[in-house]
Amino acid sequence: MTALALEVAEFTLDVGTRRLRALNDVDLCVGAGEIVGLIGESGSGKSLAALSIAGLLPKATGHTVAGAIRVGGVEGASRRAQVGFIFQEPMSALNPALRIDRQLVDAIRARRDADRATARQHAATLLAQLELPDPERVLRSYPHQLSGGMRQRVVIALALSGTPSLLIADEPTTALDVTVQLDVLRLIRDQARERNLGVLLITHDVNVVAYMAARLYVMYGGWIVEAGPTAQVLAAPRHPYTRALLASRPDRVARGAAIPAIDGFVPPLAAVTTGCRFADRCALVEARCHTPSALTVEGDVHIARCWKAGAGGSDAS
Amino acid sequence: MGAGRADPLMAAASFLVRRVLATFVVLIAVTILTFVISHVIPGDPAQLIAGPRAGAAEVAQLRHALGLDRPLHEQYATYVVALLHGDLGASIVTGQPVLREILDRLPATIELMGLALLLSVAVAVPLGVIAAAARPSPLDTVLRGLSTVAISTPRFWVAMLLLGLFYGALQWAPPSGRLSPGLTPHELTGLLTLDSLLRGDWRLLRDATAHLVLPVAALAIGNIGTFARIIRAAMIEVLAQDHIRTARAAGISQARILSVYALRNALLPFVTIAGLELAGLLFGSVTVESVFAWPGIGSYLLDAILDLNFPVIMGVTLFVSIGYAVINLLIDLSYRCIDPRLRAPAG
Repeated sequence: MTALALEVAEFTLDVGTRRLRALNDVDLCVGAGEIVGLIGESGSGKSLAALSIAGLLPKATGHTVAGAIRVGGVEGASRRAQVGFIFQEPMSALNPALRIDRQLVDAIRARRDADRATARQHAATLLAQLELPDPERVLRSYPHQLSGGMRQRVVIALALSGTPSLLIADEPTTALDVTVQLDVLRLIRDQARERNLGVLLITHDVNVVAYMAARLYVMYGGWIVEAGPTAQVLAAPRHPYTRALLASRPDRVARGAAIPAIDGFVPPLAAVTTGCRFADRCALVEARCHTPSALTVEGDVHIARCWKAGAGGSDAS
Repeated sequence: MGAGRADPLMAAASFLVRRVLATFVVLIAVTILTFVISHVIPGDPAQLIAGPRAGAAEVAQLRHALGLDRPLHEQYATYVVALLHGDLGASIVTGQPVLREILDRLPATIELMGLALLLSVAVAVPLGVIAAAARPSPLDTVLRGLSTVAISTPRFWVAMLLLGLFYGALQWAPPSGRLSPGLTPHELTGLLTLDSLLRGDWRLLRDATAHLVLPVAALAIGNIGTFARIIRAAMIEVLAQDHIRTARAAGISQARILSVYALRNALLPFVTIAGLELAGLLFGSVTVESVFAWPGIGSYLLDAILDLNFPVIMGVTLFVSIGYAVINLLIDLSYRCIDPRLRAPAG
């Protein structure tokens, strides 16, 4: 068995002064060198899960956690050094007032013992590995002098600078031009393979997951509702939410036809629900869905948190 | 990376030229304003100079000698021509050229305001940064309370309190003026602390510093409050930005994030508002200089106002306006140092 880049066990997160449950009993793992997708719509909790794993939850609002998170075998606060984080918006993810070399050198020196010159040398090497032409010029630049794709490569370099075990990529291509999206994805995949990194790829874009990830988790309302090999989940989704999510992909809808949307919206955290969070929007809902015991996990490899998992699943996408 | 990107040096030069031109327009407006105001305000300078017992013929003669009977635009032209020759007129009270009197008193004010500004920035920036970082905490609340008190307390009142406490009650500080009687300053820059430092005159340095402590503190306290609040607000905004999260994720220490990553970005709004606050500092120096009998521009202006000494009032107003315009020009230029995005257009 290979060492796990990430292990999250029964992780629960309550946020704010009212201690609202944002993440419920989350279990997920990423192997070394493995790319795993985490999909869900806005408000599903996927970004909170990412911040929790990286130990970056904002302190100001206050939160309590339960369960365990282990990154590269390390638990507790020191796991932060094991995580490299690729952020969504490359323009705002870099400090506008500091040159790239300052930001990279600081990041390198934060995680290892190196003098400035060595760290700068390492920074140039990193940028070259990320296929940035003329790393010296990039190092001397301010973020606003770089294109979106170049900035995102710098963000990836920052994430890799601490030699992490796990990369978390939070919507890494959403803010980029279509032409460079594929480049950036390929770069993340190649780096993960070369460095034997686990990658947790967070996105709402099913196509990105299909392209990148061997396995995927689907999140809804702070729960992981379905998990399994990407090909299986996409071909035969078992949870009604996953089915609805896949059916609403614009590229899967015939030209001119209405895009099927999921009625209603993600319940706010404050909404008290027992049982399945998706029950209010689910077409297959029945009485037992509203009882806590309805939350079952079925199957071995491909699991879904639903009584009806598998039932009527064949008609999906 | 566009083809039409201008040479950054040229861009900076054209920016400078445009700003200097704009400053000149402002200064012309100031001369018109001071001129008109001084001629519209009730009270006849000729009558004032001639004294209350002078006859109407005498006043009229004087008015003619002063050129006050000519049309306003002619008077303004004469005034501007004289200005361009460095002639701000003569003080009605002393008969001395206003320009020389101003230049004699300028170093005292520059020393006072410069040190007050330095002190308030040096204290306010760390305070504001700590208040933003420690939020929400009792420390933040205490700092906010202190700065509110500091902002809402008039400077002259602080000056009188300080004088009453440290001179009147405790006898720790000298009462007023720039130097104790019997000491003579070295004539170099007119900044007593700097001059005595350059000459290695420690006794003079100690005496000049002792005289500076209270007026500088009285001027600075209000600014410390304002500045700390500006820095706090700017820091809170910056700390919520994405790049701070990136820096945290990269493992950069909290101290470095605060002092470099966040503060760099918080300086822009701070410098803008701090520049505007300098006007407040100038006003404050009028009353504070009077309380401490500080021989600077502020007390000079106050005396001139009480005497209806129009040439002096106009001269000081013009001088202060120039100073304010120059400071604002420097602030505009400093933006380009603080924010690299303003230096060259993005590619």
